[in-house]
Amino acid sequence: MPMLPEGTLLRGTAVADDDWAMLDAQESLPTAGKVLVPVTRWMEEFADLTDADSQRIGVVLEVDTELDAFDVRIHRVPLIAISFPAFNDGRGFSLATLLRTRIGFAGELRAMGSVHEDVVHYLFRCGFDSLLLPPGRNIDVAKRGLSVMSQYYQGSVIEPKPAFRRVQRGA
Amino acid sequence: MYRYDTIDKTFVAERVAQYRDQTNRYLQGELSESEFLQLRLRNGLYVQRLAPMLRVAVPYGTLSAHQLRMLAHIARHYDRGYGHLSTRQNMQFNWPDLAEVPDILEDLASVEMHAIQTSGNCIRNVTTDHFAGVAADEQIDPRPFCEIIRQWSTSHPEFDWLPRKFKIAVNGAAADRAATDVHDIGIEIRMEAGDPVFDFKVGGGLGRTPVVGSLIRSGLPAVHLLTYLEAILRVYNRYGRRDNKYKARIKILVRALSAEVFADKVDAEWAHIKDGPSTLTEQEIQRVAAWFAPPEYESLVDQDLGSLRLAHPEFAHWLRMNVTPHQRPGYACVTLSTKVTGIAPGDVSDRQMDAVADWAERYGHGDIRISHEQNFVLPDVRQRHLFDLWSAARNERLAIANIGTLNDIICCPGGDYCSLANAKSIPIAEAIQRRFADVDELYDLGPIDLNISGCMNACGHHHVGHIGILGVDKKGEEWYQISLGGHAGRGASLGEIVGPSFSRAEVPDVIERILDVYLAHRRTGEAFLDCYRRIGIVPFKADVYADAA
Repeated sequence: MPMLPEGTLLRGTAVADDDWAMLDAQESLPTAGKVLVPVTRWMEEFADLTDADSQRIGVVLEVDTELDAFDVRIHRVPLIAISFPAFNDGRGFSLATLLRTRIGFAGELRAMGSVHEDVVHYLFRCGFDSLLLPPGRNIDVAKRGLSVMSQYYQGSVIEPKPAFRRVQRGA
Repeated sequence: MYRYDTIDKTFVAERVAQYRDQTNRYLQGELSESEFLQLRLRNGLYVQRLAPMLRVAVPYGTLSAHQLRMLAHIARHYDRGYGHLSTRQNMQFNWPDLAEVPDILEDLASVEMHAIQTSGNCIRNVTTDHFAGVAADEQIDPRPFCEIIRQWSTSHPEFDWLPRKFKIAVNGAAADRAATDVHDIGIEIRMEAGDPVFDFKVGGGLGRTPVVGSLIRSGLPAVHLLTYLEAILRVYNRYGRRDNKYKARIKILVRALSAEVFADKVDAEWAHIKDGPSTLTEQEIQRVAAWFAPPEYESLVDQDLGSLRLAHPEFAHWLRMNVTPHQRPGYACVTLSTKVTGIAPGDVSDRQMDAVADWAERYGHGDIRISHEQNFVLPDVRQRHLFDLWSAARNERLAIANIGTLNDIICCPGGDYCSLANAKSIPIAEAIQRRFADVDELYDLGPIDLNISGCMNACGHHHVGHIGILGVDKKGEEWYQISLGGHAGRGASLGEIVGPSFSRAEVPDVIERILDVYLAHRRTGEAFLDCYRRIGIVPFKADVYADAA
């Protein structure tokens, strides 16, 4: 059976049960249950699925996955996870931004791998809406989410308008 | 100068609270050393050889008297009574207690300052001309655009975790006092048909692999400033190398792709976001620019200081060396040199900071600058007060008339403080200043930029010194490699290494021999750099290594 990854899942700032098991390159698709597969396998086997199965197969991207490497079919995927090799690897932030703003991906966008409680607000602003925090991370800090910083200068995925278009500056 | 509004204040206050919590969690063992490292760097705290160092951001080198007094207070209360002016126009404190840093940041926030992104692999303090807004050769004041870039780059959700540190410099004058050719992004603003337009140079930088930046975009209208920056940063963030920190700067990516291909990638990215919500509005540009409107200048005429010059030759030297023309008649820009023999270049005491703050208010409009050459600048001094200012500055050892001379040395903290350094740099600076103590000799040598770095990271900008000195480690001993012909201003060039390195004791002699070669070859009025560019390195090499042959 595919294994549930270790850690604590936050959807938004709420702890949630993780129902997405990891399917590695060899394991066959189970008859039921949600699974995450590496993007290479998804492209080879599952990208053209349109039946009910397509709604229980999510895709794991590496931070250096090229956008050109997959196509608009990824729209239909219910969940994309980006796997961070280190919490300070900034590529995942750009990839998430592009998935949301360029590809128009509207499903669940999950950060996994080396996810750190102190960068949660950056992750959310780049369009992630769920986080799989590895064992040992401080969940209470992670749950503060966006509330850590109430003001931003730039636009972002969740609020495209920069401060100067959002509010009357100077007050 | 720019003043915080509710957004700035809230942002900085929340950031201090966040960092206080992070510090507490670290001190309680909840955050590991390596995790906390990433967080503290982005809040200005860097650990040196002996103690933490807090680098306070001085946005584009501009300070108010009120802010400088707070820095004096911090030096006095939390440190050992002094601070250090850095080559990024910031102020560093060498001895803060890690546990007290949140308190320091809170004090800074009370005067609309912070230490965010002064270290770490993120967009650093944007720098500019220390005479911005007052320089006689200025086309446009770059400060409003620096402030717009500061806000855009502060805690950017996508670009706070770059492959490597990222430095942006902006210039708006005929001379390039911001060294835009040797920055990750160098921006030159010029006026075209009455509107500011932007030229972008990328991939310049010093460090291990010094490179002069490549022009990738010319004449960009101001409204596109942020979207174009976003495109550059996104390409870099995605494709810059992360496997080797010495190959992670944008210059390596630009070189690997070629500037043309890099520019194409940026353009392709920019095409998606151009005219999007991050496009600047004329209203926003005007709003920020209003903060930098000229102060209430008095209607004055230029002063004839001839009799004071005659009566006080040292004042005359100071006027010639340290006073720069101002846009307005009757005003002057004054550089207060920190390059006093026996004091580390850039080090200033709390008392000096308080004094400079007082002078800024008494003789100008309360505005102070820090130059990347590690000096204080008072940009708005009434000429009729120059003598009073000089007299007061003499009492505080801030009136040395050596700006632009060999003794106005740019120098990193080196092996005395920095754990990266291969060699000490401050004692080298001092030995050179002692050797060239004779002011007549110093003035006769003319303008010479002498820059010293204690290691390849080049914080002392040795590659762009007319004379550059680099500390190297050879089998556990400190040696010094000397290069010639570097230049940071317009027409930037990288120095050429003379040859095998020298021991610390030899350095002053070698510098003297280099200067003797210059004196023997120079034409009337020919500056060191011009002479070097005419005759090349060969005569210098031949003389310096003559004994070894």
